Amino acid sequence: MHIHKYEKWWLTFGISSLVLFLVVVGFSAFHYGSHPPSAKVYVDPERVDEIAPFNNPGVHKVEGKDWDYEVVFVASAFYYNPPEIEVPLGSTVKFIATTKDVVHGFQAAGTNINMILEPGYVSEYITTVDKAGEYLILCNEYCGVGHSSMTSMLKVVE
Amino acid sequence: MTTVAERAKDLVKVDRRDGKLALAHIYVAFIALAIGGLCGLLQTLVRSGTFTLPWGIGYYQILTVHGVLLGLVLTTYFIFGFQIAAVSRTSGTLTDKQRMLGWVGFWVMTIGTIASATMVLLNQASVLYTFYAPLQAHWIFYAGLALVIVGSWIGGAGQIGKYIEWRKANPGQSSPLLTFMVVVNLSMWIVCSLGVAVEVLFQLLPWSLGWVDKVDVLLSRTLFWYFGHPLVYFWLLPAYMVWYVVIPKVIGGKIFSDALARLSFMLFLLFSIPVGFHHQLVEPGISSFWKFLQVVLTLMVVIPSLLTAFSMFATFEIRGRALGGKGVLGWFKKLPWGDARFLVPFIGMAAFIPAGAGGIINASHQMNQLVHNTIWVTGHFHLTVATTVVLTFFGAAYWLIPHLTGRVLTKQMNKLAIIQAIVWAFGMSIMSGAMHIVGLFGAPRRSDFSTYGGSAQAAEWIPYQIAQAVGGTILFIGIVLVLYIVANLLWFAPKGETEFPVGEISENAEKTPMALENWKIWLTICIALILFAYTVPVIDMIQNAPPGSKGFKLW
Amino acid sequence: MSKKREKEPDLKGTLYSVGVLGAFIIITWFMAFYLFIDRF
Repeated sequence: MHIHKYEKWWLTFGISSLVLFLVVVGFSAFHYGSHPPSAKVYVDPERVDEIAPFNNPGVHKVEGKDWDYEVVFVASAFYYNPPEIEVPLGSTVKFIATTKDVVHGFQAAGTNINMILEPGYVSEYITTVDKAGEYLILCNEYCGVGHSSMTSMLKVVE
Repeated sequence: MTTVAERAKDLVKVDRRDGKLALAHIYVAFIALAIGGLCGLLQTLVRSGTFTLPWGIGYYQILTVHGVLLGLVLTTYFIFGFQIAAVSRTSGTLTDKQRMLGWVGFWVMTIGTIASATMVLLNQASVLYTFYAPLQAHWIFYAGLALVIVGSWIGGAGQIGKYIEWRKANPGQSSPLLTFMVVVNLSMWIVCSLGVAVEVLFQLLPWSLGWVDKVDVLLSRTLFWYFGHPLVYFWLLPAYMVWYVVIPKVIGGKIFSDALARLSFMLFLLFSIPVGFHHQLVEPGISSFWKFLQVVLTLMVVIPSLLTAFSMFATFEIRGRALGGKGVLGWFKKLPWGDARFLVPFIGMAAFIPAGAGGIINASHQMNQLVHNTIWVTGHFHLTVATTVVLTFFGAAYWLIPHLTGRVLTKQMNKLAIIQAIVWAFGMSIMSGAMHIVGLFGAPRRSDFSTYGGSAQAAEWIPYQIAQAVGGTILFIGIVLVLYIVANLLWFAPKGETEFPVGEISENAEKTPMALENWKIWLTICIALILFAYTVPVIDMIQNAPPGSKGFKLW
Repeated sequence: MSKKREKEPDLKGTLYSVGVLGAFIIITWFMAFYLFIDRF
């Protein structure tokens, strides 16, 4: 099949750009560990309150791990437990969350903390909170009539 | 120079009986536009914080109506109307049996649509058009959706039947380009809608009827998005048909390359389907490796759009130069800017540039965390489907409807159509622009007005939400205008002959390789890619499935 | 239709147009990537 010279140039340029994008995100993911939240941890959605760590939602300092704090959240229509958390600036935090009923979102506005919570699954994300401030945590997956009143607050303090 | 034979070809009319079938689809499409568009206006007003819905109507109820009517009904019905006319125009009048399949499909889809819509209006199914379990709608809502899908298969079979008949009657010849494209689009549709059919028939229906207690949530979402991404290409490909085949004729030029047009459609068939995980990038239960693999395949589907961009510019440049356009960009001025059949889809093409750029960002693996379920995504698909696709459909309606009704688009209506497209582009720039920006701030999609407990961040979003309402209001004016034009073309425009423009292939273009029409090869690769992308993660999902979920009705 | 091509059509304008399009895609992508890297 004959292809115009310029079209060959364009395709080469276009495909190279796509490859560049893939190399950048692939390298950050598989070399630096910047994966999207993809935990494969399971929980019985009807017994969430009895099962660790969800029997004790909140901020927990941990030792001997790659992160300093574990923040445990339980979502249900239309609440997050806890309703507010505080972590020190510069600490590395592992967010661990699940839902007791329908699918909910878990997003801290203005950050990359953005994950879907599904019944039966635990969602996890590790990040270093390097900017002080108050970040609104909200549900970004439609969950019913109270969807837009479902909030919590992440406070990163000095 | 047009020869007598070519002029005779231009006047080929779609058979009246096929035209009636096509028009039936188009009627439903524009009724959906009217109701769905009104719901869209109401949503933007509610979200600006200045308006409350009367009579206890829920925000999520009208959001469901808006999504279902515009995302599923308007698109599918217009596409079927257009495709039926296109097949009949380029491959000959449908046989009685093919047309009968078209009508059976139409009524099955319509009964399904009415059943689902009724449950939404009764507030028994405010689950949005993605109907994520374990939110549980009334079973009639799911049954209605199943009928829509099955109806589309029946109607599609009529169109594919004509293609098979043509190939048998013309062995060794390349099929008419437009018919070929229709068949690619339908093949993609049938392969992908199997996913949502399995979800609805085997998971959601038995569960909502109470025959089973629990549903596997992740599996249902995976089946949905196996369907959901090719769905957006099912909307886009008919727009590409207009761009590749109709626009060259409208501007008086030729199709740049038949072979490249077919190749890009085949690439869409291959790479549109095994990519659903890029809608599930931030959810648990799927490993980063398999997500990334589908991200790679997702970016492959950009390639046929790159090809298309080149072909479009080349078609325009060759024509503009033939008309005496000089210099590097002088040809641009020579294009028929006063012709709505050209200008309206052209604005749609222009919108696809930011739309495509945004789409690449959305699909870029972990970068999806930046935008996932923020209103940026809403801004994105209001550029893709609600501008690129919809303006192209409007531009096509301006010749298709009068062609089928035996009327003409008058000068005044042509002018109004141009104004309509400009109004649309203006309103959408404001609305979609505001959505993109505030989405990056973190404002969520699909959410009622909320101050989020007095959050300082959420307070910053409100000016953008007001901008969305301004844009939404302008867009609603655009909807009123297009409905006025369509009503004119259906019932009031002067009688006359309107051409169904079908471009000729450029004499410089190479002969099309027959391999492009070897369905055994392409469908085999298509299915192999799907199996490659989905088998391992789906088996993993089923083997490691946690206890399922019972249904919830939380609205 | 299978006539020999004498000359390829002049598509310089097309080349520039797609070039601008490509640049737009790359710029917006890296802006988004920067925002992603900047946030935690």
